[in-house]
Amino acid sequence: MKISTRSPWLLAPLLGAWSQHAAAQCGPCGIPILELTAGARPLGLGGAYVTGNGPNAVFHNPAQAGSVHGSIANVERIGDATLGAFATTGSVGPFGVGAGVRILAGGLTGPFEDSTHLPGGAFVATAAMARMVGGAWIGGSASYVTPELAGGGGAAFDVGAAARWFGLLIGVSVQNLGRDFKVGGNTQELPRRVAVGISSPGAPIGTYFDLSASVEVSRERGGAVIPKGGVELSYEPVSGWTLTARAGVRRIVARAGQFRQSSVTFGGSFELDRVAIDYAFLPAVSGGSPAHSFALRIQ
Amino acid sequence: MTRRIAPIFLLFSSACIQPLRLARDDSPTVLSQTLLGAANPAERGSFTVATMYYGSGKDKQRAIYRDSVTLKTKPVDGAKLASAPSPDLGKSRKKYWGFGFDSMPLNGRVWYPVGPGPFPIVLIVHGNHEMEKFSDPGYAYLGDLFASRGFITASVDENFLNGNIRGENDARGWVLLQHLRAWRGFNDSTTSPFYHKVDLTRVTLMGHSRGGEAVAVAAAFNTLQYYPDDANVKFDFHFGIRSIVAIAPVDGQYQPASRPTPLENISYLVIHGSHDGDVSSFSGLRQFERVTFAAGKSGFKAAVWMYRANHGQWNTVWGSTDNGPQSARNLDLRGLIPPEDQRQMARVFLSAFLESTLHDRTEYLPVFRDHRVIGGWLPKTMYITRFQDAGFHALADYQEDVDVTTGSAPGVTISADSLATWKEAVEPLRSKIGNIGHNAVWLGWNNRIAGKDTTKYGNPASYTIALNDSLRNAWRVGPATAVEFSLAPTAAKPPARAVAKDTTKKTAADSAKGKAPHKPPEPKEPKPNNKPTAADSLPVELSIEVADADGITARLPLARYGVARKPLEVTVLKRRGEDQSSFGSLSELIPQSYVLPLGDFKNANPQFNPARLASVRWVFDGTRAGTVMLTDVGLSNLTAAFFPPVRP
Repeated sequence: MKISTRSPWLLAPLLGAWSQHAAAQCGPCGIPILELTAGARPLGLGGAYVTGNGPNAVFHNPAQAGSVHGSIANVERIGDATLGAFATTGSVGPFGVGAGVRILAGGLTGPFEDSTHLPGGAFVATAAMARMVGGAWIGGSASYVTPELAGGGGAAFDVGAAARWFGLLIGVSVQNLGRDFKVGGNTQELPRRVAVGISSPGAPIGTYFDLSASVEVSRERGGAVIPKGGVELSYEPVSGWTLTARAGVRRIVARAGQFRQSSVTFGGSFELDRVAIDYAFLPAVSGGSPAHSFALRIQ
Repeated sequence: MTRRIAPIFLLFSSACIQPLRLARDDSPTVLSQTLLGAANPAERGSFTVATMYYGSGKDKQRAIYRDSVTLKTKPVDGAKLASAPSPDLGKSRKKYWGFGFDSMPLNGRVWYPVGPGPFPIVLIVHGNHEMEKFSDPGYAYLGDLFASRGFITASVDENFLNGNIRGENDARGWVLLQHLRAWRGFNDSTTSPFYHKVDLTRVTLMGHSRGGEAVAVAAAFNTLQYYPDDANVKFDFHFGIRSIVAIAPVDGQYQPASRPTPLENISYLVIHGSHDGDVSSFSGLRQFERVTFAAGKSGFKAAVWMYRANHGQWNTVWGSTDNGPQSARNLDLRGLIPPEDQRQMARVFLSAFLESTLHDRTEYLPVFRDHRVIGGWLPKTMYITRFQDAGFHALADYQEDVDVTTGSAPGVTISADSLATWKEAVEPLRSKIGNIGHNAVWLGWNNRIAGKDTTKYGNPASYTIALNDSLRNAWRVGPATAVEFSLAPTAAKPPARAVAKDTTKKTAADSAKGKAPHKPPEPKEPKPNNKPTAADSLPVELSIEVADADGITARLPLARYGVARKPLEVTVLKRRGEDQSSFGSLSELIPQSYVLPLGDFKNANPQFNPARLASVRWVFDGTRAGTVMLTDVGLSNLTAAFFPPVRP
């Protein structure tokens, strides 16, 4: 049995960013950390990542956990809050395996639609596993969710599948399954969603450029339907050196307890062989702050 | 932001790109003369050229083979020789082509001379490439030339064997033989425009890349009764395949009965480029070494390595993209020779080869013995050539045993003097995997005597191969006999020669005790400077000395018969340092063949009697220190046609 994972030490600085926050009071509460798009590359693609590969797939579609092996550390600054995420993927025998953590630190007063919900901090730990079954990858993940650092937590589960079809990658995932749970007397509502997406492989444009695209449609808890999409244009002047620009767009459904976010996203990467630096940017919207996301990826 | 990032990225990426490194071109000297009186074979001949297509007449993807065929052919069932790697891929391929391996079409585009004939026939077959980008139109420049010179030439469509399948070179070769069978039908049919115009006793098969291996497989199958991998498949071909041309071929992807493909009594020419971004080593030299001639048979084998040539420019469809459409990302294309120059080289050598082997025109034979005789016809770059004729008798091909003192024929003995390196080993290839499959001897020398005095030299090191009377008589050695061998200088330079021990001086005390005499401390050797110097790129100079049975010698400088270049370093990949990590060596060790007529030695010393040749000696008297790889040493009674009369 072969175990292949990389760079778990990248977790250390994120753990260092952990900070204490007071529990907030609310009625039925959303769990913001589960609604934020984790990862600079997914964010740059407008969140259309149900067919995404690499370690960040642990947070988006567990079936893709085995697609690319590696590790990634993401840091996202949203207003005065910081979302840290670390994920690693590898293989154990025929299984693709992955693990990840997400940490939300700092206040989140600015970006909120109603400015009333102030979760102090949150933590999610996820373990994912996938296996090829009949030409498709099938995967599942389990997460332990602590919506507010001071309180307790509960479990959430994802299942997903991904398969190639005429060169395209098709993915589906059902996220945040499980029972709502109470922390500090508040009911924590898991943001269940069903997402279906499709992505194209990089199509060469001329000698040095590749263009790829991803689209996704999700149905959120409460019935909102959210389309998302993103494109990536990569420039590779010499094998192994890649500069990528990406842009995404998504529908934003404004509601109380939700973040005020821009519907367009931008991003880019600089990649040298197995190491990449990703960046994504969300422009500020009225009353909110811009968001910046950085990631160091080794895969 | 972009203004800041872009220059940084460009700086990083340019630092990552290999600087263009090209060796000093010696062609102004080496190719300065044209000694051959014959017309340039790359020039069009006197025949009017007509074109036509033949094929299935119902090809789904190829309109020309559906709508424009003059002669219809029946498909052939090659399912026992080719298969898709998986049923799904088999289905998708069948869906694309409209047929499977059990119904492969015989499609070809033909250039032919207008005239009564019969004309020799040349089949050209491409190799592996994207199957949707059809490769067969890429040899029009050859087809038109050959037809104008009196050869029916067909570029064969085997695109349906391209793409994602492997180990199919037997099928590629077998399909070629099926084409020849179709041509037999064209020749026999009174309704065919080729009725009695095709000379199927004079056939050349020419293949590129995988096609380059396939032509050798076809020639081997041509003589067999059964398919070696499944004797339920009967063969009955027996065409008059006289010669084979392999253009940048692979080797060993298919092995009949798990053995390297043998070739016997067929003339063979292989060409390869130094900057091949696909077949990174001169693999065709393996097949070159496996071509043998039985006693009394005629023919020859030759190899040409062209500096700065790539894999694809010999096919106008393939071009410079040896590694796919995005080749410029990983291949350094800056060093490539212009495509037209690369194709001009093919015109010269391939046309001369066809004239020699199909038209029996002897005036082009010297081209293969020593390419310097056609300096004016060749694009100006560097070439390394190999040659061996059918009458070659091996004194030492280093294949026979592990004894470095014995040769390849009974009565041959080998000795050496003052060599720092004397070993036999298999000839390497540039790629990390594989070798030529043929042995050579490595001879290293340093004529300087170790010590502070850097002007102190010993006798030149030497290596001698001697033969006895009976061998000399059996091989009918005489003034028309030539010494043939192939030699490649390597980069290795042995350290200065150790001072010879004077065993005559002993002190009385030493004698009494039986101890070795007391030696004063040796002066310290100056530290070797490992930095390459300008001298390191100079050709190796040495002499060849022959001696007769009476001890009379004659000596000639090797440089008179060809340049002995140091290995030419080649960087094919764009990324800095990637060649070093991808290949076993930056240079391919390709021996240059030399043919030294004994008559020349007789001219140098009229006392020397070639008919009583007793030994051949390599005397390392020119370059102070170095190492060469030597192989295929022998004698041959070449006809005078191999030696051009010197132009006035």
